[in-house]
Amino acid sequence: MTDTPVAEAPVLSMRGISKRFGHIQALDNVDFEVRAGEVMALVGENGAGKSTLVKILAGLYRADAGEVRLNGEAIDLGGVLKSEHARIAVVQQELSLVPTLTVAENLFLGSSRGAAWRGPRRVGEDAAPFLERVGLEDLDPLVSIEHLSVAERQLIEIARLVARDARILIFDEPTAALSEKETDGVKRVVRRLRDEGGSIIYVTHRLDEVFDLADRVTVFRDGRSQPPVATGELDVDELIHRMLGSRLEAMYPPHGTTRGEVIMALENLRGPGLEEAVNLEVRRGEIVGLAGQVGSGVSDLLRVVSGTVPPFGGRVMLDGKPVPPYNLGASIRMGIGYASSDRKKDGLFLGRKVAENLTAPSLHLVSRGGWLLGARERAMSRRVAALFQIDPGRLGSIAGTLSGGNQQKVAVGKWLGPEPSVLMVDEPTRGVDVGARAEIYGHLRDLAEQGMAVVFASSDVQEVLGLADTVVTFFRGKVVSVRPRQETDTTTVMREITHRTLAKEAS
Amino acid sequence: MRALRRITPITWARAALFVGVFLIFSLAVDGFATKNNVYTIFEGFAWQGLAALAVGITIIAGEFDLSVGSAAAVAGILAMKFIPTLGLIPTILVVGLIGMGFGLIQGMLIYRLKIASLVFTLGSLIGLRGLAFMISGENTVVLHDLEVAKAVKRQLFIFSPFSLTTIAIFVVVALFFRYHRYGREVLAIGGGRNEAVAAGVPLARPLVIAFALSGMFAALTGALSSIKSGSAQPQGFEQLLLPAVTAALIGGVSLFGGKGTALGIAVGALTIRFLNSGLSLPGAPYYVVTLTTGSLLIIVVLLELVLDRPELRNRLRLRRLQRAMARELRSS
Amino acid sequence: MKDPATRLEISPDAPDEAARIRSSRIATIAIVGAAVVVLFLVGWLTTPEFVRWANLRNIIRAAAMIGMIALGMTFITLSGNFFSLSVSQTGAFSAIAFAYMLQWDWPLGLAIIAVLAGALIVGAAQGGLVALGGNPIVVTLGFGAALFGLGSTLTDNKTIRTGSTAADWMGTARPLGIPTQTWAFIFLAIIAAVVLTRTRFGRNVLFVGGNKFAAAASGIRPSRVAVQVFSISALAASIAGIFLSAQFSEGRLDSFTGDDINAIAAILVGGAALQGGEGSALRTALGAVFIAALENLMVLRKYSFGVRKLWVGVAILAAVSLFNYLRSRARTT
Repeated sequence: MTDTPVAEAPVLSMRGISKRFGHIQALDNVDFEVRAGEVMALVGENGAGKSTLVKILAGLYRADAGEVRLNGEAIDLGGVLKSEHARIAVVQQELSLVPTLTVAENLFLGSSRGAAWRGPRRVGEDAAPFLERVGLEDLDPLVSIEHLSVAERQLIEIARLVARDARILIFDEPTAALSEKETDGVKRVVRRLRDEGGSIIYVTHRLDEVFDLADRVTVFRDGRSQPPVATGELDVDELIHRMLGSRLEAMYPPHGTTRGEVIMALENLRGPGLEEAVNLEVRRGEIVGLAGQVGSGVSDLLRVVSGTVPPFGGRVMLDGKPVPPYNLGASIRMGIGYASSDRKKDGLFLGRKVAENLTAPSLHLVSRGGWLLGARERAMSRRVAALFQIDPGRLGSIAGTLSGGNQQKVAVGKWLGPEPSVLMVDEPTRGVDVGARAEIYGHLRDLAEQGMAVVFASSDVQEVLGLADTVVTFFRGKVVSVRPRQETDTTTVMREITHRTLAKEAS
Repeated sequence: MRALRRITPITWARAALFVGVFLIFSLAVDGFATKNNVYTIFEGFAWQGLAALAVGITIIAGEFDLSVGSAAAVAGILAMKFIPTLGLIPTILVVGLIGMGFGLIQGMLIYRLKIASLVFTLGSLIGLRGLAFMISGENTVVLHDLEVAKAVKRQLFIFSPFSLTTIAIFVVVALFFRYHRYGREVLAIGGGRNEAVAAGVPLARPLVIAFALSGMFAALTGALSSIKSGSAQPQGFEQLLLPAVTAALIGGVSLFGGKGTALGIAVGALTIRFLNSGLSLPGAPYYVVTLTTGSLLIIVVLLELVLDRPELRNRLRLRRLQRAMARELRSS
Repeated sequence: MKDPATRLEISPDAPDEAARIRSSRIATIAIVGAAVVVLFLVGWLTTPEFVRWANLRNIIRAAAMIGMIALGMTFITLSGNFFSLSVSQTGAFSAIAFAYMLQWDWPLGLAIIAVLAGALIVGAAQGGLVALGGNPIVVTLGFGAALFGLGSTLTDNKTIRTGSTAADWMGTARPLGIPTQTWAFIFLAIIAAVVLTRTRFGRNVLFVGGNKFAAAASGIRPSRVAVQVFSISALAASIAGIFLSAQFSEGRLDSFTGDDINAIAAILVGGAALQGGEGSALRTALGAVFIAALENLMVLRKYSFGVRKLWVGVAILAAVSLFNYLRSRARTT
């Protein structure tokens, strides 16, 4: 919170903004504003509409309805250039820094300001003041980006936007991948920019940062906005309540009852993205939900257990036998299936038939001596398709033509081919519509009832509570708590995955 | 000097190779380190260096221009045909501009049609070669006015107007990449195509510039070289790609894009010429040079992979770690 | 952070699309096949000598050589490793090595195995460098040059005569009226097609080319596949070299000049995607026939060397543009 008086009239004012995608109303008559010299936090669950609003401000989407006013005047934000012209800038989550260029070169990359002929030393000198403003005054502007940490790169992204003289800066989850100390660095910059009169829109899941940094906060829920509130007038629980409301989720199947012996045990497992060793037991027939935001370590844990990345130490035991680390093939053969969260990148062969996708991890089971057995392959693809209710008529179609939900079913379902004892899924319903989500949940529960252990990671609190028998919460690379579902609720989970102090209390 | 601190071990290795090769041949081969031989070396550098520059620029931009040899052949034939009417300097300018124009079109088509430069330049490699045969009537085209040829290769100490022109071109290109924003854009799209576009760099401009420069320098290679030798063959420059790529890689151009300097390419090209001279002076046939250059290319690629890429070293280290852990598990 | 636009469904399954995709796969083969047929029709209508039996045999023989090399290289292309620029030198070197061995009176079987083994090693070495991260074009460029230089040095740039009739039957026999090289080509095409469609290895190749990350996530090792495909390519080129050497009873360094480009042309005209994952042995074989027939027809019609080259370049660019366009149309979801 700032002591300097803040102008009352907003610099940016959005009224009645609506945006529809197909039959989904992403934004429904939303109002949003931010003043000069203010940090406005934007919070809400996934799917609430925050990202859509940001993209509209960046000029990537065009609103279906509503008006945007800058300093009182109506403007049109159609197109990235117009948005730049309005001096609105977004600090990306996927960094846009070229690794082979220097700090200074990256800072001015893509900008057509200034003289075209300018030597590297001069460019370095030009960059210095902007580096200083983001707290990187000790950084040599002529150093290559390759040697910098994620936090420093994030700050350079910010410096680039400052250099482009943006007056409205949008930060989209800027500290997701940062340590605490690095986050402090970003926060210092945000405060400084605010004190200089800039308008900051700060989108985050980390509620402690909301209270630490923001003057006001706007909550989005289900595509609708609530009027902004000064952060001094709320506390965490009130904020969480406003974000979640009270919703009935009818899409989750009833929780399971069968619980067998321990099938997988993580013993002192350490690896990239995990700040502490993880100890966890998973039983047959159990669905374990790993709740955590981006950068909390949930995805990293799954990557280590599956053998995608090598661990630093500890081990994974499957049915009493140790699993060789960093060996995907061995993990698959031993009975671990793992579907990552980015299925377009490594979950599907979009150009190949659905049937071939479904048998991809099981080639060793449908072949003999290197020879693919057609009948066995067909039988397996039909069986796997049935398990996830994928239309057998589409087995011959190219995977790229399927809808998002069906693609997800293929990307996850194919792991049932090798009949794993443990199925691990990262973000099981990402990009999936409501109907298909319920189906996937049902299938996962059926698999558990038949004795499979299911471990899934999700940043959707409702999904974790709706589906899991055991809830494990993560924050900043550490496990916060492990509880049976009955012993926790949305508020508790939400606090544990977003609130720093609670993690400190728990440790 | 802060600049010296920033020089990586592999750059020292390149400089060492450059100096080392020269020294070894000076000692081992009679007549290597003489004024006349160095002149010959620079004469070779004059055309091969330009070709290396052409190929190097497209690699730096994250692309690949396979057609430089065929372009040089066409340019050489055109030069032979233009000189009688236009004279030396205008011919060089015109052929250079034609090369640049062709490169511009090539770059634009690659951008628009979204065809991989590898495939597109393969097509132009074939097509231009065909063109060379067509406009030359399938015969060697000869320059009748040998005075022009002599003028181009007149020995000035260890240089000639030809090699001086090439050196001047190198200097201009070096300045362009170091000082001009458009030059930095070319490095950007090579070092991180998606990141550069996300940062707001318009892809068309640096892409077209890279191919335009490549076309121009390939054309100048052919034109100047043919003028000097007084003849142009339609099947000429078929082996141009190998020494050009090797020179670029020795000179520090990274195959992953985004890294490379004109100075480095010059050093690489000179190193290749040292090799060539050192081997052919005592009478080794041309294919020994080919063998050496090919082997050198393989070695340089291997070295870059193992030394310059920390990810590879990490991966190998991780594999060792994994095997150790697996052993540990088995024994427990 | 999830964007509702990605979290929630935007487009349902596209039933018509599926049919369109399937038909676009058939379309590619139909296009290539049609191109060959059209070419032969044009030849028949315009140039009577074209369809004479002797000439057709020449076409098939040329297609066989290009085809064998192209079939091997197809594995490289399908795996997403573009192409190999060392095939013509591998073929020539194999021809020379084979000739030498016959000169030294080695038994035929031993000579063949030795040459193939050598090719396998050379191919695997290239594959190994590519597996480490090397650019396939540059790696094969270097190996090709080194092979050429080595071959020239060993033979002192002379032609090596086999001086033996042991292999003559390979070169000149005509079982059922069809030359052995053509049988070999047909045989190799069938083997390649079967391997690609019906073996685990073939599936691995297509997966790695289609999506390297997804392949790795399924337990496939892209680096192993790289070594394998480059070995296959070298083997195929070597086989072509052995046949050539047997046919002419000599081995020469320039035996396959220009055939690397022809092989690449055959693959591209056959509709294989440069980035990998799409293409087939049958289409490459058809592509080889097309390229050989095109060249033959142009020669018969007295097109000059330059014009012929120009047309081949145009054919490549036209084919690639057409298939790119078809693919992008079919891929719209």
